[in-house]
Amino acid sequence: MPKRVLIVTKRADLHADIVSTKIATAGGNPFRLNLDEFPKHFALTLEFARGRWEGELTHLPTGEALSVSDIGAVWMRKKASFSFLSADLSPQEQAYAEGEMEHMLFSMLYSLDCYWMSHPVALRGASWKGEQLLRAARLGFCVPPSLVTNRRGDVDAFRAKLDGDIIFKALSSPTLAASEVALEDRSAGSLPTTRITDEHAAALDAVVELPCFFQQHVPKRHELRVTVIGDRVFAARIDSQEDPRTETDYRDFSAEIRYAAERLPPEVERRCLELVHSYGLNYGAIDLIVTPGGEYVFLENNPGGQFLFIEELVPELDMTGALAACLVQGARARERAT
Amino acid sequence: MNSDKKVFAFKLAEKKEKKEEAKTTKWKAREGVSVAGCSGPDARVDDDWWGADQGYWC
Repeated sequence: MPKRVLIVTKRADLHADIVSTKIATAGGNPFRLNLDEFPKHFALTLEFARGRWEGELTHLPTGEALSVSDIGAVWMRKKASFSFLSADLSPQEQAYAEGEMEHMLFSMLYSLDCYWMSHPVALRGASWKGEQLLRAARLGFCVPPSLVTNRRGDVDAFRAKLDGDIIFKALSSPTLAASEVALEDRSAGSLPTTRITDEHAAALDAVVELPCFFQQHVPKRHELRVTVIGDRVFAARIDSQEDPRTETDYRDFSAEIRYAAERLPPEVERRCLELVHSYGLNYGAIDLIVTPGGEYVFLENNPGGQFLFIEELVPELDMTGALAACLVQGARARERAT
Repeated sequence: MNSDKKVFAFKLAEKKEKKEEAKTTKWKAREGVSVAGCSGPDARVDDDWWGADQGYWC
């Protein structure tokens, strides 16, 4: 039986829609597990016998079944909240059900011997931006001076030392945890990376509530989004300084700034590959700044970062095709090994 | 800034929202990236397993 590619994601995921089609075109056989339909629209039966787990995951509306022994590659694409048959579970039932589902899902996933894009342990280990800076610096990237503090005086001293040119970045959630609370409890929208100026002076007293992340503002010639897929590197140049809306954070897609394919210096490309692979990841989306002086400054690596917006603006960077090919090759390699 | 928000990031977000509200033109995604997998705040989640990027805009 040819090994299949399991895509773990949610219903509204255009990345997965496109890559699924390309996996099929490349001769692979994808199976999509939408977590926001799981377990509501899936049946899962696993049995431990003869020293291993066997069983099937079945998509009930279509009847499509996936034997766990046929999984040759997994793309851990996006997380979503589980969905249950009863919409009116009590809060404690809901909490228990979610905990059980997480336990079942990861028991199954961790038991698989297959190609990963990327393994949950690697994804978790790669998620911490403070640690990323240290690793990037060790690999030779320039890393901006950074500060974590809940002391107002230390922010002021940091600003003074850097002539006032600093940014604030939310590390855990640029949507400020909006998805963690009910719609009626949401009190703030998303927050891009923000340049801190004198107009924020009064607000800075609020850092006492919890340690905040500040970093030197780095002058930009342009920015780079470097997407690593397996052993391939796709670099896009983003001319973020063309429009005031994208000067500090390029992710404002109302601004029609230029995107273009970029050839990285070999040493920078090697560092990007090494950084991503050092975590055991087979995918990473790295944000870099190129300064007016030509230095490559590391900002962060997103182990589950989006890439389709780049491909849409720079079609020659066929990342959906590369990702599909990687998953199909990974599954086939597992096939040959068994 | 006169605000009931306690957390610095929320104070910044509030300031940003006030600036957005003052604008006369509505935010609109540029042509070609409107369906780039950016599914809106309700579809985004914190990614303890998946990593840090949450599909923020994209």
